[in-house]
Amino acid sequence: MSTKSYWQQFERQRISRRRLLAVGGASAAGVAVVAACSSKSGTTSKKTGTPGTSGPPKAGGRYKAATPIVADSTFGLDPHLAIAAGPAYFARMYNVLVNRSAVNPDYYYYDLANDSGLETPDELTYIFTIRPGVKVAPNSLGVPVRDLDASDAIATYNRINASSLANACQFVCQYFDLPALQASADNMTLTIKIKVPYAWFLYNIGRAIQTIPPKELLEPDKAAVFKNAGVGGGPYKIDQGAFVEGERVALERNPNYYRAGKPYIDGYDVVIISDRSALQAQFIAQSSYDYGASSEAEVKQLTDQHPVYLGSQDPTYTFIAFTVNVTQPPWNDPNIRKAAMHAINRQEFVDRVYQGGAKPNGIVHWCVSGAIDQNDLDTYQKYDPAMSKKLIKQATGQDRIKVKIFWPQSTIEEHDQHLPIFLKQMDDAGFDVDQDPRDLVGWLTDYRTKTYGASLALNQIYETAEIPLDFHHSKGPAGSNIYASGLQDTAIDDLIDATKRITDFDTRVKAIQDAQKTLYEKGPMFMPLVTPFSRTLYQNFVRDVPAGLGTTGLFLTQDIWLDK
Amino acid sequence: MLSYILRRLLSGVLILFILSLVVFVLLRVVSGDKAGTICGLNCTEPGIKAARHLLGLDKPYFPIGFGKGFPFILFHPNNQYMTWIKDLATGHLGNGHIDQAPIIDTIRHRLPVTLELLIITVMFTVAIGVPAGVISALYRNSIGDHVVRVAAVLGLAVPSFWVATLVIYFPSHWWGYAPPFGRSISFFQDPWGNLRQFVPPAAVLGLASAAGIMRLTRSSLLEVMRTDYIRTARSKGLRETSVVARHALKNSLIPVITVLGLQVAGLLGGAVIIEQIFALPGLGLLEFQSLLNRDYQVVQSLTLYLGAAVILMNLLVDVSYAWLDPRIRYS
Repeated sequence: MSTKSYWQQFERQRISRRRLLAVGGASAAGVAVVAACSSKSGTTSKKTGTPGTSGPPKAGGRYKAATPIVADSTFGLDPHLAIAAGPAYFARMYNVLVNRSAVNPDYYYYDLANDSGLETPDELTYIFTIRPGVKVAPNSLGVPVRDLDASDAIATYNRINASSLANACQFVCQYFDLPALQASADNMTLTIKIKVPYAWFLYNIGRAIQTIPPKELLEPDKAAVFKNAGVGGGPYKIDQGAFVEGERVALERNPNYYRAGKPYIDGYDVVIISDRSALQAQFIAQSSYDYGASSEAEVKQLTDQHPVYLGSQDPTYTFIAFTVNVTQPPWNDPNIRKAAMHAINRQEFVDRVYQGGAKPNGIVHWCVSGAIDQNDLDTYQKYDPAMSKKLIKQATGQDRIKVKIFWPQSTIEEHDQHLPIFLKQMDDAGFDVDQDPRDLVGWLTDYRTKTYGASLALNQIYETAEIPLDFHHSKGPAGSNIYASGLQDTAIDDLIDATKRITDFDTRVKAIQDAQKTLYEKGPMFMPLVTPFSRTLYQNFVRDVPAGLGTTGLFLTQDIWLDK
Repeated sequence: MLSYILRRLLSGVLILFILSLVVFVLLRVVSGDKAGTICGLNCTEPGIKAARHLLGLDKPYFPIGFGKGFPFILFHPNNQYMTWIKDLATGHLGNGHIDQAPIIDTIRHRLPVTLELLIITVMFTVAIGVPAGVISALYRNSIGDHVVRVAAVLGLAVPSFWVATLVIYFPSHWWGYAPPFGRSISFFQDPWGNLRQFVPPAAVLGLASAAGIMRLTRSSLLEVMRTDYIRTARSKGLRETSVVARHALKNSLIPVITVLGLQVAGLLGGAVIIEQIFALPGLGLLEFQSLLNRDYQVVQSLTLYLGAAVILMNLLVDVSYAWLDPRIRYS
C-alpha cells in the first residue's frame, strides 16, 4: 500500500484504525511528486526545478550561497530556541521523525522514522518505528558517533516542553500527552499520544524548529555548543568556528549520512550580505549559486545576460497582512473592519509590487487546502472604496474616520513597497491614517502585548489554514493570548477549534471554508494581502533543487548536486 | 604642555561619564528590548520574563531608586548601570546581551577590519586630497584648477552609498567580477584577496573625504601664500618649491589636520553604510546591528569607545598644532 493511498484513506475516509503504513518510496529518495498547488507557469511543480537533462548526479563540490538573513545571535544554532535563519540550517543538520508537506499533503519525507514506520491505531496515538543506522556525524563536540533512536526524540520533546522560550512549545506543550510519551525497550519504537485529535500533527512534528539533535547535545553543560556549532544525523554538520554570527556559515558533509551516496555536495559556504546590489554582483560573479530576484524585470535581465535559470516558480507561503485589534475602538465595530476590508485593492499590489507575479489572498493563503475560490473572494472581500465610505458613515455618522496604524519599519524590502500603496488605498476609502512606524523590536514588543489598534504586520510562513484562522480566535494565533485578540467571539472560537479536530480531509476543507465565510460576515480582523511566486535564480550547473513542497524542501538539500 | 594634556584627559573622563549616562538612559527610553525578539514566535509572559532574566534586563537600572513608601530611597547594589561601569573599569566591557560573548572579544575581532578600512581610506584621502588641493591653489584659475574643483564638488555631492553601488554593479555586469564579500580576509594570509576586499570600499570612502580635504587644502594654502612671511621667503630668493613645501604647506595643513582628525575619529567607529554594502564585518556594522537588536551592552560600550576615540583624536590634533606651528604654545 502506498503512502499516498493510505493517507488518502486516512484523510478522506477516516478508516485509520490499527493500520500499519507500508510505504512505497515516497521518501526523499528522488521521486517526482505532483504538487497540490500550481506554479506560476500553470503547470504543476515537480520535485526538481532544474531545466534540461540532469543525468546521473555527480558528487563533490561546494555550494556557495549568500543571504541577507542572519542567524539568531542569541541562541545561534539551537534548533529549539533559535529563530531567523536558523531553521534553514537545522533541517540540514538534524532529523525529524517524518515531515508531511503541508502544501503537497501527499508527500511524506521519512527521516528518523523508518519508511514504513508510522502506525496510527487511533486518532490520538502515533507509533513511529525508528530507522536503524541514522548515525551522528564525526565531530569534535564530544557527541558520540552512534545511531540516533527514540530516546533522542524523547529528550527533544521533553526539552521543548520544559522551555517557555522554545518555538515549538505551543505544539508540544498544548497537544502532547508527555507522561504517555514512551520508547520501547530497545529504543527503536516511539509512541506519542496527543490529548485531542489534531489535523496538523504530522505537519508540525516535521517542522525544522523541533528537529532532533543527539540527546548529549541537550544536556545543560552542552548548551554553549549550539552557539556556533551543531551535529546530528542529518546530511551536514557545522563544526566549531565555522559559524560566525552575522558573517558566515560553513556546513560540511556528514560522511555517516544514512542515505547512501548523499548528500552529493561536500559542503555549503554561506556568507551574510545585506545589500541587494552586492548580492546580485556576487551571483553574477558566480560567487553564490542562487539569488532571489526582486522583480520580473530583474529575472529577465539576469536570465538574458548570464548563464542562470529561474527555478520552479512555486508560490511562496508568506504574506503581509493588515491586522486590527477588536478590543480597541473603532475596530470593535464590524462595519469599520468591513470598511477596511473593502478598502484593500489586492490587485494593485499584484500589479505594482510584483508585476503580476503574485495572487490575492483570502484569510487563508490561496494555495492552501481550504482556501476560498478566487471568484468567491472577489465577492466577500471586494475592493469597493465607495462601500467603505458608506460603512464608515453608517458606523460613525462621519464621512471619514481617523485610525492609528503601526508597522515595523524597513524590515523587508517588499514591505516598504506595500506600505505607500496600502496607505493611499486606506486614504481613498475614507481612513485618515495616523502613521506610527516603529523599528522591529519596538513594533514586536507592542504587537505581542496587543498594545495597538491596527498593524500592517510582518510576513510569516502560512502553509496551513491553522494560523490565519487562529488570528480570529480569542486566544490569538499562538494560542496564548499574544499578538492578536481575535474577534472575541466564543462561537467563532468553537468554529476554529473544530477545524483542527477534523481529520477527514474533505470535511476539514469545507469546515475551513465555512469558517472563513462566517468571518467575512462578522468582519475579519486579519486581512492578508497577496502572496508572490518564488523568483529564485540558480547558476546553470545547479541541479535537482527541491520544489513544490514548501518548507519540506529544506530537508531535501541533500539531493542538490553541481554539474560542473 | 603636560599639564594641558592632563587637564584635557580629565575633562575627557567627565565627558565620557556624561555620555555613559545619556546613552544608557536613551537606549532604555525607546520601547522594547531584546527579550521580546529572542523569546521566540510563541512567546508568552513567562517566556519574556525568562528572557529578560537571561539578559539581566530584570535588574534595576541605577544603584539608587525611589520607592513609594518609607524609606523612599532604595539602594540596588545589583543594578544594570553599575554592572556596566564595573565591566568598563576592569577593561572587560561586559558581555553582549545578544550573543553573551565578551564585548571586548567582539571588538577585538572587528577592530582590525575597521582599522584597515580606516588606514587605506586615509591613504586615499591624503594621497588624492592634499596634492590636488596644492595643485589647485598653485595654479589658481587654470584649467587644472577648474577640473580639480569640479571633481571635488562632484565628490562631495555624490552620496557614498550610490558610488558604492556603482562600484559593485558595473564590474559585475561588464566583467562578471565582484569583490569578496562577507568575510574578512587577512592581509598576511592572502594579501591580494585582502586588497580586493578593502580597496573598493576604502576608495569610495576616500573619494568623498579627499574632495573635502582638497577644497580645504586649496583655500588654506591660498590664504597662507598671501601672508607676509611667504613674501619674505620669496624675497630671500628661495625657490618656489621650497617656499611651498617647507614654509607654506606645513602651516596651511592645520585646518586640514583638524578635519582629517575628525574623519579618522569617525571612521574609528566604523563606516556603517559602506560596511553594510560591502558586507565588511567592522565596528560600524556591529553597532548598527546591535542597535537594531537592542543589544544595550554592545551599543553602550561602542558609543563610549567612539566618544573616547573622538576625545583622543581631538587632543592629538590639538597637540599636533604645536608641532606644525611653533608659534602655538599650550600652558
